[in-house]
Amino acid sequence: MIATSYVNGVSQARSAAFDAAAKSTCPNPKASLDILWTDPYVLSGMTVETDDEGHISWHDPHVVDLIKATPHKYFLLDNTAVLDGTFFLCPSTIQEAIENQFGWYSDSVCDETGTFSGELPHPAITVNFADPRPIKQLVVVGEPTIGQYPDEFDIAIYDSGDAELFSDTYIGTSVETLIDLSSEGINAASYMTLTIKHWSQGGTMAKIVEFFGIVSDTIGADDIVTMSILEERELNTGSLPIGNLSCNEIDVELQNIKLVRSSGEEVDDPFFPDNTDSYLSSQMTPNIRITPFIGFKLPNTFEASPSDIITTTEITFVAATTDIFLFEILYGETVSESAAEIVDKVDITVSITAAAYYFNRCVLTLHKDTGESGTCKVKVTGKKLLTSIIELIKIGTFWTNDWNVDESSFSVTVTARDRLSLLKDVDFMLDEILVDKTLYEIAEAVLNHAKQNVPMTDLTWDIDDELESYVVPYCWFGKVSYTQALSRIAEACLGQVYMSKEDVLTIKPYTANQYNPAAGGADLTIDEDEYFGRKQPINSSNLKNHVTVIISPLVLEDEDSEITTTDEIVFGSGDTDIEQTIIWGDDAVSGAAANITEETGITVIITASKYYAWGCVLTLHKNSGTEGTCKVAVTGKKLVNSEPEEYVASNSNSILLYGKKEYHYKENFLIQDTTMAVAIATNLLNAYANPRKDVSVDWIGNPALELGDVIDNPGKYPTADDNYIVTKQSIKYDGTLNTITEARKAIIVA
Amino acid sequence: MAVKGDITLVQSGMPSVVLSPFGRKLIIKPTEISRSGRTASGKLRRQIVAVKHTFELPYSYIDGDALNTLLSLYDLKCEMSLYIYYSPTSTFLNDNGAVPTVLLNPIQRERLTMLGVGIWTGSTLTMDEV
Repeated sequence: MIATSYVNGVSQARSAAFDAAAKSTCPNPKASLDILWTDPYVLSGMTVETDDEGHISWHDPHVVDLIKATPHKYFLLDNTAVLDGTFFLCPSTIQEAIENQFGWYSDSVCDETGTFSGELPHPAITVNFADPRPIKQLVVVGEPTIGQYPDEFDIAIYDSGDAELFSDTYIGTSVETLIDLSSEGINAASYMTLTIKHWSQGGTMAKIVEFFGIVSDTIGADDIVTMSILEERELNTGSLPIGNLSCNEIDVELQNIKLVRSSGEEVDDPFFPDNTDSYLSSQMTPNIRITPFIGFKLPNTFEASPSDIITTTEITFVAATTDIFLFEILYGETVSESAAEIVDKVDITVSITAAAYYFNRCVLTLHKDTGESGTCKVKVTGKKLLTSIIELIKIGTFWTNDWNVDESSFSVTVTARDRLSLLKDVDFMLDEILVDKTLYEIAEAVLNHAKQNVPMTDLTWDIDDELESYVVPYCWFGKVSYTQALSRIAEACLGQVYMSKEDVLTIKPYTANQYNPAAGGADLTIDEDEYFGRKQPINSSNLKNHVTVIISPLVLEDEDSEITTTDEIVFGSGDTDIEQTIIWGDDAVSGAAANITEETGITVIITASKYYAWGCVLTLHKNSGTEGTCKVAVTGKKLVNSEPEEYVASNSNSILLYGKKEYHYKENFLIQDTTMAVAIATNLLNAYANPRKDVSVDWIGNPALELGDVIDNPGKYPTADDNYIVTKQSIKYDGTLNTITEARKAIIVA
Repeated sequence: MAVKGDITLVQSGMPSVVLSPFGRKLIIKPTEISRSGRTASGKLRRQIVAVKHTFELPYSYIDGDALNTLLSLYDLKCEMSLYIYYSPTSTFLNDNGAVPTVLLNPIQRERLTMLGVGIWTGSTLTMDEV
């Protein structure tokens, strides 16, 4: 179950009241949708420039990557660093910069008061946009780890003709300054500059981690027509759900009449692409990041303990008065368990002889016990009705496909898919052959490659430890997409790859279908009071009792062989050094070595070389002669397929009962030894040799339930073992909530 | 200062318009927008999205000036806040405890006489809560 929920945009631990609301007789579902129109991870064409950069500065792309935190206190030469073990060296390579957010560091140093002055202009940085874009909000972030920031700075925004669209001076009071520009009507900014005038600390350089123009909207339930979310980790492909890699998907329908932004700005016909009055007209592109939230308005509750509600003005008893009837004391709010008492008595004692309490008032009779004349007051205490809160669960992070606008419709629709779809179309090759690595290490290598090269710096993952137990002698994917490589890994562990609701890439092996009751109860019980319909399909096509697994080992050739020879490389009279990249295709080569051959008119030596499994990068130096040519021949050991073997396993009892049901496991080069083949065949037979009654439940749903959770779902005929693993959920919100949850019978383990 | 029984419409940023009280009734029709179903055990479960209201002011007769006011309000074709005064300080509140925002529907009318500013009948101002 998702442990984190959001109330008014602030994350918190999911409350018990949330689950109670989901199970209540009259749940009140709510939803919202965050749209980030300017996602730095998929928007291209942003560049960051400055004429004032320090010895180390990673302003491009750090300043526009939306990462506002730095991981370390960096060792700076501004007399602040000491050798106490708490400082970290500044990132000096691209690899270090990918792993360590740093940002822009100016060369200019402010004086002891923090003022940037002198002959140089103030330190400034410029963010350029490839295409003109709207800017509704700007964020300027100083250095969060050491708490430094610009406390006086200028912002200027320009169009493509260098005309100034906006400029102003700001006083910063904290590390992060958020500037709302929604009322400025900036719809076609080409570049923007940040000029630092004064720094929060004297004697140091300017440091900016983030300077980014954001356009984001939170769409509330008033603007959402429908939201349909499909999340799954098993596909219905007609075959066994092994090695599945599934993109979750969301279909959104939004009203297209008038959008009222949180700033109060109103936009008519907001999602019409030709409506130039709408700032969204140029933003409705593919790959817009949307984050849906679904939850419940929690039932109203009263304060846990009474508090003061109201105290009346002075009530006067004259000598002739013994009883006063107070027709009503109005509370002005809804109160439970209210009680009145007499306070501030002057010259008399008074008691309450009759009282009637209501949610919004009370009616009292006061009696004068002693004294002639005097005054008193009535104080009422009680438990106030608390404002009901809306608690929401994040349902994933998605990137849009095409927007569909129909002028005859009042709404706009868009379909979006999760992060895996972004990885689907990107090919890659590992730089080296992975030798004796576990599936866990191989998966990490692939994901780290994606993180650094797509780049997708905010990619996070959760790889099951079980993958540590599968060792692969030689791993080489060739040129494939990231998702193809991940799918291969999933196949080799009988697992699945999917994105969690928290946007974490998750790789689960076969054991993800196991459940150990002794290790803790089911995550959620869905009983007859909660579901409207329950189906138990028996997938006889999934019954397999005779399994063949192909073992296809990869081995290195015993002897070096010729890998490739280049065409003639021409050195002109002015050429001294040439950098030559040689790519030899999909073949993976280990121990490659390059030699100069067929020199004509010159002699050439290799002065630097870097070898990869797929090729090499050489620096060739003309050692003698003026003009001429040479070739480069590369030798090495190729990684080749050896004769495949078959491993066959069967379950004789199942064959007797149901007949022979064969399954040929898809050939996968990651299965290179008998150990892995035996594990796969054994686990396959355990899972599929007997008919299995999975379940499909139609219910309102609980948005916190996620793929892989264990549900206890007793049906009409409960058994001692009604535990299922959630494999697919179809969630529809249209003001009400409806969920179809599909789950696989759990394999009980001790 | 509003008095008990007053019904006024207010467009954001504009002065309120008091609707003619003569010859009219007030009908409030609440509509529950919900989905409900019975679970496998027979238990009823209901999800209430909102309760929205339709307000009807049928006029048995209305003078021409008052009718023109209603027609002018309709011609604005914009959202307006509807204040139905139960007392000088309390008004009808909707499901969320707020003054309802309404959209006006076109007004049918039938002229009785042209004398003076004219007298009309069969007019009903219908307002849907947004």
